[in-house]
Amino acid sequence: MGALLMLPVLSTAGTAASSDSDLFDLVSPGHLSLTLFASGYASHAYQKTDEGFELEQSVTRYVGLIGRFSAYQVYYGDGFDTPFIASPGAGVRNYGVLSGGINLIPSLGTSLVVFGGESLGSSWGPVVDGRCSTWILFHSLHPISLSFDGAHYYHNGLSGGRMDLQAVTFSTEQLALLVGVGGAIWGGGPETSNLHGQAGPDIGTFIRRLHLRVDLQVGYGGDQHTYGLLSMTRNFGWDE
Amino acid sequence: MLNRSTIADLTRENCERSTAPFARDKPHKIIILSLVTTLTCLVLSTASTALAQDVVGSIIEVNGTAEVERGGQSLNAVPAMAIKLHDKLHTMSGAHLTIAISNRAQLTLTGSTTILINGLPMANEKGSNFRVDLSGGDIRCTVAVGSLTASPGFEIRAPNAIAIAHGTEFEIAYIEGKSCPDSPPCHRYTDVSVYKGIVEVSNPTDPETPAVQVGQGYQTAVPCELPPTSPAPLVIYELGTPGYQ
Repeated sequence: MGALLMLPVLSTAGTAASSDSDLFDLVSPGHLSLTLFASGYASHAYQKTDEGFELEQSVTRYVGLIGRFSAYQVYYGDGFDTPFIASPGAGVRNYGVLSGGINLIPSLGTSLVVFGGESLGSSWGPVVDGRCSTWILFHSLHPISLSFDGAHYYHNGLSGGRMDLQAVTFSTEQLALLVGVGGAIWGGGPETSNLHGQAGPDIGTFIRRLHLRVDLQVGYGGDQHTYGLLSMTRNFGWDE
Repeated sequence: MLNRSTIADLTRENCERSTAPFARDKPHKIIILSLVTTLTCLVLSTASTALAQDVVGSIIEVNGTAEVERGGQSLNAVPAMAIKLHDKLHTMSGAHLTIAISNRAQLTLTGSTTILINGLPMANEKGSNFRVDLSGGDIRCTVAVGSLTASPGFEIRAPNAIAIAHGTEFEIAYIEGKSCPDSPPCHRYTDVSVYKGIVEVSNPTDPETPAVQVGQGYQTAVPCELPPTSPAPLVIYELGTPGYQ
């Protein structure tokens, strides 16, 4: 559903796409990128950390191939991205998600990624994951980022997604400041009849010298009550 | 018998006889000597003025291999070396070269960069800015505030872009052979990133489109013969990659 909502935005956002004559031409020079990410989430009902990496290889100007591995440590409870069937017991539950996919880039600053993979460790089962993101008013003093990330865990039937809307409010030689709102919605899992949601403001910064993005979101949700989410991302890229 | 007056007369006569040739040529020699001295001074002062005007700066720092092409000759760039008008500077891959342009600006050339020092325009040429031509690569410029007289600014010209600065710090890169992110069919473009002050950017191949003013913390791109894009935050291209979404 999130992808359908994004379609009208994707069709108008970013710069205009070029002609179709080079749709299948291999991009030259090719580009390999490595993204490292880590986050921590804490609320009344759910506490976890996760970290991982993502490798992307460009194929054409519009298509890239992606592989990703994420490791999760669940310290307490269940949330929008836990694939477990049984109710939580004592101790830390560890699992990983290994997935591969394709990245579609219809225009500058717009991306649609579809992953398929499997969860490993404390939970075993297929996972389907998707991510849509775009920048609106890319060539302006305050570009706006809109992103949606959703997943379905077949092991427990949980479907969940996170949304985020941020604008660049301040830019200097050293960093940029982003301000916006974000949230999550999920349902299924061990309690199949319930739909859960949470939302709140977020603030982010991008430090140019370190190529590091740091985001902090705080908010409120039904079961989760007050929550906080801190995430960091660092990207490396090489032209081949 | 010789008396005192006779001796005096004889002495005077002898002196006059012995110095007569010098006495007669002295004014001429003095005039010739004066003329030669004056001419020499004029030549020397003209030469030194010409040399002083020819030197526009010097090399501050060199890392790696860089060359200065002057009068058909290629010289290795070394620290403290003078930079003259119409010098062509070139850095090899992985090298860095920093030069000071009098009291106007400091330029840092990264690897595989080539620039030509054009200086101020001649009397019959248009424009009033001190000009440097960038034919390829990336240079970072720091232009001092208040170091210029009323009229001349500092101008960097890429094949498809002109960046004019008055008291600022910015970076300009001309890229060939790689698809421009803002206009993928275009394979040559200029990026201008401004760190301090304001830079005016235009495309000389499209003179009817007004120049774009880019403030600190923002950047613009000039693809092929297209006008410069509206200023966007310095981080936008990096944040726009899927890894950061």
